[in-house]
Amino acid sequence: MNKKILSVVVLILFSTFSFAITVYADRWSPTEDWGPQVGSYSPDWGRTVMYEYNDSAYNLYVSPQARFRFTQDAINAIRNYYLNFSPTLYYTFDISVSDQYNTTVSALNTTMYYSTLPSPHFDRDDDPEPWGNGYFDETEVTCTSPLDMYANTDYRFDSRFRVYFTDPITFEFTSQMSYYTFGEYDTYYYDIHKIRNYPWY
Amino acid sequence: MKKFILVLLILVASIPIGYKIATGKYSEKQPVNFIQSIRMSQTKEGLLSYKQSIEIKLDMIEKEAPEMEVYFVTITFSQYLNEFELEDLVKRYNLKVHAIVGRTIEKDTGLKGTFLIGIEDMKIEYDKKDLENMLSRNDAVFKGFIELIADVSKRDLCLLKNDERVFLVDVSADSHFVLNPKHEKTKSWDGYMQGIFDGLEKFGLVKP
Repeated sequence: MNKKILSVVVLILFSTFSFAITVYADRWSPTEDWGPQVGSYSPDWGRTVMYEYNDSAYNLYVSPQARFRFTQDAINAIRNYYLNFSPTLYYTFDISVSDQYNTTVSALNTTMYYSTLPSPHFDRDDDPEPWGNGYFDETEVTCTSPLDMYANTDYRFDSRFRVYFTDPITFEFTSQMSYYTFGEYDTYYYDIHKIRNYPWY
Repeated sequence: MKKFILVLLILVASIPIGYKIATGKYSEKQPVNFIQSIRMSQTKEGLLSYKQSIEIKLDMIEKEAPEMEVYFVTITFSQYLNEFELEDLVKRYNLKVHAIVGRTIEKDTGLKGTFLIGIEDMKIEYDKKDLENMLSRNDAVFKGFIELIADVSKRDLCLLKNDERVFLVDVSADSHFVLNPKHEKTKSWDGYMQGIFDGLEKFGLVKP
């Protein structure tokens, strides 16, 4: 009898435990790289990865991340757009949900950003402009001192989206040259480097 | 030909005005330029004159604003702050925090990194485990907090600007001075003026 109870308890414990693992484990996607790009300002090498995890309150998040490297030609192009172009253009790296009407993920105001681009200005947007749908589908970092950017340096950008439902969506990893207009930074040129599915598993 | 060019120039110049009227954005106030601070502080002289231009606004506030008037500010620290110093500053001046900005150094490469954490409910609480996690997955080592985006009352603002841990309290993204639709929409850190700690580092102005 005791053995039976024990085995039931063990079974319950075990099943809860395995449930906890399947739901709450952090996980990494495989990496995917990009090669030479069309935009003169684009990094000709980059690596993307997604990291899914829970915060202390068991809210689910996904952090799409990129590392990218510029050639000297690309750095020269970025400097030229800053110094000799009208309007002045700034290099921006953008990670966005492709579908602007998506309602399964959002870059909350408690989002976290990390970048090694010099003098970064972080931003998020709820497209389509001007009102959006209440879900922030776009995160971006603008380098506001382009003269401090260098070739053959791995720059990184990491942002996060709260996941309400794990419905299939796609993230786009994009370089932009953006300009200042009426209290906003808007895209002048853009170059999509990679589109990835989430969830990937 | 000259006349033609002149007419063309006038037409082109009037496009923004037309746009402003069409979108109802026309007003005495200029729209905020989030990176004006950085743009002006590319040299040490530029940085110091930017600081002076903001201090003129702060003096104006000190003389004219009601005590409880609230301002949306970006605070650039004069030194790297640790967790406890940051918390002390927030409590002492009753800061309603929107976001915290910190400096990291990348392992192996020594590359400078920046993080920004958005804060819910304007408290100083954030998920420390999440931050550690984000830094470690990017091979980044925490160096210190460098800037803060917050709401502060006029009374506290006047004390805060003289705190030795503070280099500048920048009010130039605040709606008393500019149009800032991004910030108005979310009342969060969106539309913040960029801090100028980078400049302090570049020109050796960081206090030890």
